[in-house]
Amino acid sequence: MSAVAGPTVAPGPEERTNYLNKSHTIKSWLLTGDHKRIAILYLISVSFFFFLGSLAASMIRLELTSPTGTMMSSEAYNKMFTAHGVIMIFFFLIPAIPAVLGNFLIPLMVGARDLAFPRLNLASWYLYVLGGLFGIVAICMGGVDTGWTFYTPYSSLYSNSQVTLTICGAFVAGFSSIFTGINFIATIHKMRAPGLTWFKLPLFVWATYATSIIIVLGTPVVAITLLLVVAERVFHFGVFSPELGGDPVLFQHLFWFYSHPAVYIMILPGMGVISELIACFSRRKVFGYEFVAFSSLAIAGIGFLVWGHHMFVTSQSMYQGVVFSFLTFLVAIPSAIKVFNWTSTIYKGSVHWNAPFVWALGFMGLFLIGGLTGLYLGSLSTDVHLTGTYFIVAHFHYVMVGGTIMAFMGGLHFWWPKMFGRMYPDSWGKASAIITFFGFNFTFFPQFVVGYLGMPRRYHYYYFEPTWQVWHVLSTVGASILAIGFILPAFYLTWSIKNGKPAGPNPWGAKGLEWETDSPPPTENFRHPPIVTEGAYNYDPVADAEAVAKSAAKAGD
Amino acid sequence: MATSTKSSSPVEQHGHGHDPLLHHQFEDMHQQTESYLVGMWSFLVTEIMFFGALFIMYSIYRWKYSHEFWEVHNLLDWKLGGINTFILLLSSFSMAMGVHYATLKKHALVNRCLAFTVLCACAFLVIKLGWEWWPKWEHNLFPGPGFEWNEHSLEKYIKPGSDLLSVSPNIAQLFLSLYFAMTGLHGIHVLVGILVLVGLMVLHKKQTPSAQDYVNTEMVGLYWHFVDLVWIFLYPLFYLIPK
Amino acid sequence: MASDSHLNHPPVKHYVFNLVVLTILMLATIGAAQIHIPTPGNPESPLMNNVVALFIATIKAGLVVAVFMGVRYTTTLVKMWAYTGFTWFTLMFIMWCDYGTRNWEPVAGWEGNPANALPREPYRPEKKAAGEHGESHGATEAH
Repeated sequence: MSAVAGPTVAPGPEERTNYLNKSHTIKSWLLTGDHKRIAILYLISVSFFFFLGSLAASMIRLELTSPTGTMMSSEAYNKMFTAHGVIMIFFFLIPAIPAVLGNFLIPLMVGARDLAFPRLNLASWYLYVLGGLFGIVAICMGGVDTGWTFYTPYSSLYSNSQVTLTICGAFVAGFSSIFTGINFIATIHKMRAPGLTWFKLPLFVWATYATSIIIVLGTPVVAITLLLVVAERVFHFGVFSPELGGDPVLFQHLFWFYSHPAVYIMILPGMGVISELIACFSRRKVFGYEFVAFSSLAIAGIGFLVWGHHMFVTSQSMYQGVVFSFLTFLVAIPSAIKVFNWTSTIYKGSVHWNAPFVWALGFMGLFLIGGLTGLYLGSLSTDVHLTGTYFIVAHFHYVMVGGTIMAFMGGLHFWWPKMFGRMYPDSWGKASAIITFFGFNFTFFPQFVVGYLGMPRRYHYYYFEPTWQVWHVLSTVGASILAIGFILPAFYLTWSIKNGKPAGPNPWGAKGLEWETDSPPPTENFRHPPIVTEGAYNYDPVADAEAVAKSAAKAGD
Repeated sequence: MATSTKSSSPVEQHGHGHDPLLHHQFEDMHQQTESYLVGMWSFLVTEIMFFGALFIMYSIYRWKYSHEFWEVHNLLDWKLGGINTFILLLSSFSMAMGVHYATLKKHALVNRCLAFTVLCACAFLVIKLGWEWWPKWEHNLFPGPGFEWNEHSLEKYIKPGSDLLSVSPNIAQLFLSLYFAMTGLHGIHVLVGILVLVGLMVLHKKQTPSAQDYVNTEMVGLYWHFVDLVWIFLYPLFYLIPK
Repeated sequence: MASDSHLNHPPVKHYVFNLVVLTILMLATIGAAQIHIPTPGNPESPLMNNVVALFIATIKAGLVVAVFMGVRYTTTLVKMWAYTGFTWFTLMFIMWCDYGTRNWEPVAGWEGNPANALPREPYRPEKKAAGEHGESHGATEAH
């Protein structure tokens, strides 16, 4: 089917102008309004911050191999895990999938020439870079030691580190994601190609739409809250200061009002990516499409009602705790709908074992563990035991790293041929997916155990229980394997930009609108504006089996 | 996904050969205008949540310290606040008139309305800063290390029927922190509004393409009305606290 | 042109009328603040004054949104986004449930004590009850 509407004139990819070779000056990149170029800019900067955050992570893991912390002082350790958290959350996980894959794909998937507000899009990237600079300057000037959560009154009254600068960075980066969110909302509402109704949209678009809603509704709340912490540090305003009769727990309420939905900002686009990958490589329409679509919106909605489960052991009223615990279990329903529907899609699908699919399977395995351990933490009594331990650390790394990064890598492998017009070696892709999966479990499963045994998070001394060392050493060894899994793609993907085989418009035989145009796409995305007549997953198993047989016969010749 | 492509030439498809106001990513003016309005409203949604968080904080402390808040609110002059409310209502009205004339492409009249709006905004800021903030700053009533809460700093404000000194200076600082934070952020929005309005006036003066498209004026208008909206709630909450 | 729906702004007299109504409501809210409005059941409470003040403010806000901001005359999509923010903001009032129920707990909490950052006091059975049924409690303590 894809071949029908493929570009009819097909000279070699080099000869056609596309968004990459249209102009080569640095200015044409830095002042571009093209969503695809901005996505590439984001890809580069996001990768840089991922690298920085990983450096901090490796320092943490090395430090923890010894129960008495031989490498760094306690202050340095505090700053290290804060740097890891702040960089990874504000400068990697939140922008990663929406700003890179979303930016690149949303206009292609809805059949538009660009996002609704190209200049706002560029401004969002500059704000992101500015926020990142604030963060880096803060680290260079001594770092922050509050943890990424900036809890008051420590952050507002006591900490002697660069809290103000870091908060400014997070604040500015927040506006960068607000701009992206506004852009996606207007684009998805208004710029869909003729015939592309809501229920013909790819699920990635639904997921990004839900994410944008969360961004627009949540981010300003944390922005103002962090601003008040700065006001408290700088002007000695006292809204959260217990000295003046303020309530520090109010900060946590407002912080988690955004930061819990922010978890869904990180995972929802990942779920959208996985829906695309599963459908394409199983050659089936996603099972229960409408349910998967609405579960994204349900997660976005209910996600706003559960923030109090981060505060079960604070002075929050326990009656409210009970309500929040109940609502937390409700979020499990739409998440489970997604996992069950993906599984049902693969079941009796015609599965093609390409690299992106392996990453997607890795996502499903890890997200399953991450999601289910979340239920332990959502119930009040177990949470009292597990809160503030490595159990929580393992839980959210399973969701954030196991979920979001696996999905991001899977999506990157899936759309890489579209972005750069070249194929990478598929076997390398599969190998790094498998290495990542095993390295990941090696790293974080021991943390569940040691957390259950009582190892507190954010401690680097555990000499009072030296038997925990074995779990920490296991975890550190796993982290080195995990690192290989992330370093490999950096090499073969960059290698493929110059040396990979030309991909052609649709190397996977996928059905989305983005596969109908050239790879890489021209600046205006589609040489002829598309009119859509079918849904996003109109796979035909019979035709596909024939195509496979044909290519097998060809290979036999 | 099966698609068909239109037979007509791409240039015709893009359809911006004839309308200079249409940006390249849009198909027609209808789509462009509504995209802008949806985008602007979702931005205003972020603003609502931004101020909303402040109102939540305010409501929780007002509930907890209702008596203290009533005492300390006597520091604020409801007459000045009332004048400012009326000024902002007037400015909103003239802004709406500006948008009205923008749809009719009467640039001179638009500019007259915008100039009046800017004038109101400046008057608002002068009253706010000069008559309200400055005396408090002068009497060391700004929260922080220099804060003073005694007969000397309060001499202007002690009225019969209220006993300001009975209020703990800490709670007084809490109230004033909220007051300065909320009216300050509102004031910053007014200031940004003035800058944007002046920029828009320049565009109308030069009659540039972006001034020809009324939606730009409309978006500035939406922002300005939002600033008014926030004040409509700030006024009764800070200046008119019942005993 | 197709964009006529957006140009469907109200006539000028609506704006004038709106301004007049807003000014009257502003004067009404000032007036209402000068008198004490008794709350049914609790005449001392300022509750009714607050309710009236916020009710008037909400009407004023509604008028600004509907007429000045043109939401009344715009498309359904824009209306939807305009209402979203105002609706979603109210979710944050869930926080009230926390502050409202803290002193229901059987430990002295944030509401019961002078504000401080210290941990809560440990749970102690109510002393008043112990005094009334002194003997029986004494017996259990002895065990």
